[in-house]
Amino acid sequence: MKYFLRKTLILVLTVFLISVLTFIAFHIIPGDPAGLILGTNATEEQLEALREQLGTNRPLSEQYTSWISGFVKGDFGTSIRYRMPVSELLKGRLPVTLALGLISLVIILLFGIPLGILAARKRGTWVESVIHFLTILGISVPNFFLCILLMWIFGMVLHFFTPGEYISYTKNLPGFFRSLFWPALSIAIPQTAILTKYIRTAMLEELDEDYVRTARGKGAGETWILYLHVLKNAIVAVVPLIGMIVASVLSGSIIIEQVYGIPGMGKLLIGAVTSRDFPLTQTLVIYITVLIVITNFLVDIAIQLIDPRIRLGGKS
Amino acid sequence: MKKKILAMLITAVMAVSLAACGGGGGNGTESDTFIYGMAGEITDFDPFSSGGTANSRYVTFNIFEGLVKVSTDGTVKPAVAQNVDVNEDATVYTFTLRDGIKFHNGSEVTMDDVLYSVQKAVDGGLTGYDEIASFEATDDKTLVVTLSRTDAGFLDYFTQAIIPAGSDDNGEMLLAPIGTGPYMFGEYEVAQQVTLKKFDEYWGEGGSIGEIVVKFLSDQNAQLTSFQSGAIDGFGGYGEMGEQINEENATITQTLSNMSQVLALNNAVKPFDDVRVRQAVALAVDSHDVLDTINYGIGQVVGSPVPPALTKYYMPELEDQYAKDNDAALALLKDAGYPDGFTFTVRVPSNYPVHVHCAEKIVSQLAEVGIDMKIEQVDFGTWYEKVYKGRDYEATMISVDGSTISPTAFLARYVSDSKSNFMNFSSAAYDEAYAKALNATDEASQIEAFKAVQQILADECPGVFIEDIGSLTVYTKQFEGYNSYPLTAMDFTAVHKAE
Amino acid sequence: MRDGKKELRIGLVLTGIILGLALLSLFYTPYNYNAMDKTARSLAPSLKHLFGTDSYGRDIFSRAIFGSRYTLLVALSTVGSCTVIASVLGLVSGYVGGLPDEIIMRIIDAISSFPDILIALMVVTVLNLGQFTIVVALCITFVPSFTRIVRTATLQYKNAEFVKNLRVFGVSDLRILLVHIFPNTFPLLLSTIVIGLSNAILAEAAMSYLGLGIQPPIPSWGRMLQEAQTIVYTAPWAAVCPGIMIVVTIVGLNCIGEGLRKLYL
Repeated sequence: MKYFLRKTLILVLTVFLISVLTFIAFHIIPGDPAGLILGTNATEEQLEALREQLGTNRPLSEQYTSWISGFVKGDFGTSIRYRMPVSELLKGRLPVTLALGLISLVIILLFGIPLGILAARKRGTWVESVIHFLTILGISVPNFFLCILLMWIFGMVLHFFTPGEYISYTKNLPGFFRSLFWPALSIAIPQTAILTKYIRTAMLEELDEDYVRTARGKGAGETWILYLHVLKNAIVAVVPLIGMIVASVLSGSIIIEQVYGIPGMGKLLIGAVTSRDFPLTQTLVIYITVLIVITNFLVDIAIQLIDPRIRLGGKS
Repeated sequence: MKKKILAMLITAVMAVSLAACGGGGGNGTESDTFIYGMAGEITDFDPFSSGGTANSRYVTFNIFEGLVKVSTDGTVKPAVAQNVDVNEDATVYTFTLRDGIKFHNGSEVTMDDVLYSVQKAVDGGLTGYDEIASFEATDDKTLVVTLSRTDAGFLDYFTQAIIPAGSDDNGEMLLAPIGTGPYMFGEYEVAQQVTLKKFDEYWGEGGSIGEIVVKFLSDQNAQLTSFQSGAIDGFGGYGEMGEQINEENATITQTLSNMSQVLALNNAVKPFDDVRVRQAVALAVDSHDVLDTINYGIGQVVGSPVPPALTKYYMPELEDQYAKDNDAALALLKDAGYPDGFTFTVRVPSNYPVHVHCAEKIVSQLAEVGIDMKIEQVDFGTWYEKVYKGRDYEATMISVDGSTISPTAFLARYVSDSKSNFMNFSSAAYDEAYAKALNATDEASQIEAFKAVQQILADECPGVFIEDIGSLTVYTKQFEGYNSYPLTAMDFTAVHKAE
Repeated sequence: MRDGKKELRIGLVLTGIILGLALLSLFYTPYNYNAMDKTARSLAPSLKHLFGTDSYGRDIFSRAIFGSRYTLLVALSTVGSCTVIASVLGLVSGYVGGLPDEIIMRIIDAISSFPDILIALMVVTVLNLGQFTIVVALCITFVPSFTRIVRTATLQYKNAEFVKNLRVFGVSDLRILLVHIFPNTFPLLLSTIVIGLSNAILAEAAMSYLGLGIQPPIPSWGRMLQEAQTIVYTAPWAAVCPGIMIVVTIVGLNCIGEGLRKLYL
């Protein structure tokens, strides 16, 4: 219980830290939201009127304090770019990015772990070589290039899907998942390769440990049971990777959403930053922070469950 | 055991991919819908407070109409007004409202609505509306606008939207516009798309497609992919995209973008404070080569900020005033004290790949006369603040558009004390000629005066005016019909099903 | 493939090819990297143009080898500096634990959830290091994942039997950390470094959008790939050459890493 309290306190602190960081960032980077809305045609009067209307003529510190005092009451402010409540903008997008992330994560785990074990299990054979080659390819093929390849082969040539078409979950739920599958696959492939590689490395490490040699010597045989047992130890090294993968999925989805035209968080964030939309950026950054902090927190617990040698809190 | 796991893996793959292959494409081509893909997005539809963003104007052209509206040849024609009378010295404009014209909400357009809308435009400080000394309704159908000075080109500004009285008191137009145009606002999905519906009670000849969907795509790659996959029925893009389209299943229309791309030089910093250096740069740049190489020859070389679409004011003779001439450039550089050339940095807004690529071409051209140009990409927000507003730069590349089709929209920024004079151009001769052009009483003398203004600009060379970059409008074979306007507009009434 | 020698050899050959080409470009490229030719647009690979030309008629092979030194320099210095910083942070955080760990990890959390695009914009505004501002920006965005890897590996060994024994014998913490724990983090760190390099090459291109990175007309592999995207349906070879350069580099480095690991760890 005390542990949870502490973690919650840390989460709040991190969120606060990140909101201050965002504030500082906006303080530093140049850009006038009103000017970016009106472009190079606007007269000074038009600009002034719009700034007044948007509230961007106030000092940034004032904008920040009014935003944060609203935030603690659950009011995320009004987007400058879209002129509507931030909460309304988020409502439609949260499920999209979450679904995209979850589908990717499922694919990554579903393939990454078995392939990693298989590679370790079959070391020295052609199976390992093939997997090894595929992982290296998966890691080194650029993300957006992979998107294009998938779009081209499965979209244009084989007509499995229509690139550029997105189906809203409010209209057609199965269609929604279908339209997210290929983007999710684009995010998942490099991450799956990374996971496979790490699992294999960690497994091989573990297989060289004394206890495995002893077990083998005793005639335990090369059964999957043995490998599952080894996996348990190997996975400790890999679990933190899940945190990394979640972060990569989140940041990867930014590019993927752009390429596939999916209206998720990533696309919104790019728009928010390039148009210097302070309230929207603040809220999005905090949302991402909360997701990542919670994931890492779960990862910490998972490590502890698997390997009690590592104690929560880290003090020995 | 291991076979089992492998089998499980394979089953999983099959299950996932089968689930993914279930649905096919299927877009609106069979129904009465035209899906148009736009590179970028529309974030508001407000005709007054913003009226600014090109993307917004592109679409709201179909929703709103002014008392007069622009026609394809660049002249204005009556719209909400049936008739316009102008007095002799172009200071009093009298408009007669059209009978029985309706807003999208079903109510009839009255004089109250017109007065409300004009007042909105005046309050919003829209270009040209500062010339209005007074406006009043002499009866339910007649509006009299009196200008503070003579202006034969005033109607060009009067295309601003007429909206129902009181409908925008709290900024409602931003996300729920109501106008009198041929298409009415349907549904807006933030950062995704906007749907327009045909307005059946339109006073004029409306469109033939029942529903228009404008999809917001992230860039030209997304446009190409969506078009090739059939997710969209048409799009507008740059000339270089034409190569990627198979002409057998597409109709491509070429038009101009109605703005001049300029290599803007900061006239206040060395060495560009010397007119000889600016001219030398202009002579070293080969606009024709830039147009042919980067833009596939789609577009037109210009020599002035006024684009060719303003036919009356356009001066073809300026196109080659600075035709490529390395010897002349070298002579000018030597004269100005730079016999070995110099180095400068051009800050290019990175969201416009076309400007970045043109800059790459110009790097090689300037190298021929010993000028070393370095490219520095900046994001548009930074560009706007630092370069455009802060004027903290040596050179930049941009296409500057005009909000209306009047020459002032393109030439006003070069007046020495103009707030938008981001090139720091300063010329007493220009200021004087420009003031004279504004005060011309009849059209002929105004045209002549604005030509004189452009000549001075070309001679003093604030920057290198390169080209009006061409644009393409691409449809699938199922659709045809495109109207080209001398300003940013996509006229959906022109689109119809192919036979 | 059991012994690392074979892998090491393959790795050295592959990276040798890339370095050789980079070296060659110092003295010779078949064409000028920025020479456009409107009569030779999007040509397929031929004897005249080994890897074809791009949409402006520039020779892709010349561009790829000319750009290699800039691309590699950015990627290597990014990952190099990042590894140093992350090793220190990860070792301290994992070994010392307690408050220092908490502080470092919270900062790491904050950075990793902070959008790259904001970091990049800040760095480019504050620093003015020209072409190499990118290294700072990328380094900041890469540090969190590197640090987490090192920290976890450290945690794993911190309470291991052999470390406990060393402590009993009075070996100093610093020595334990550097001599006995740090080398154990290498296998995972090596993988991370190789992945980091390929990420850095690609991130450079993404960041050029914000005014960071190798500025045109100087080509970089990442930007060449990005620009090939527009013409991929009609001239797919525009993506092949930079793609091959990236893949060969990464595969080469990966093999060297694997080989070294098998031989010495």
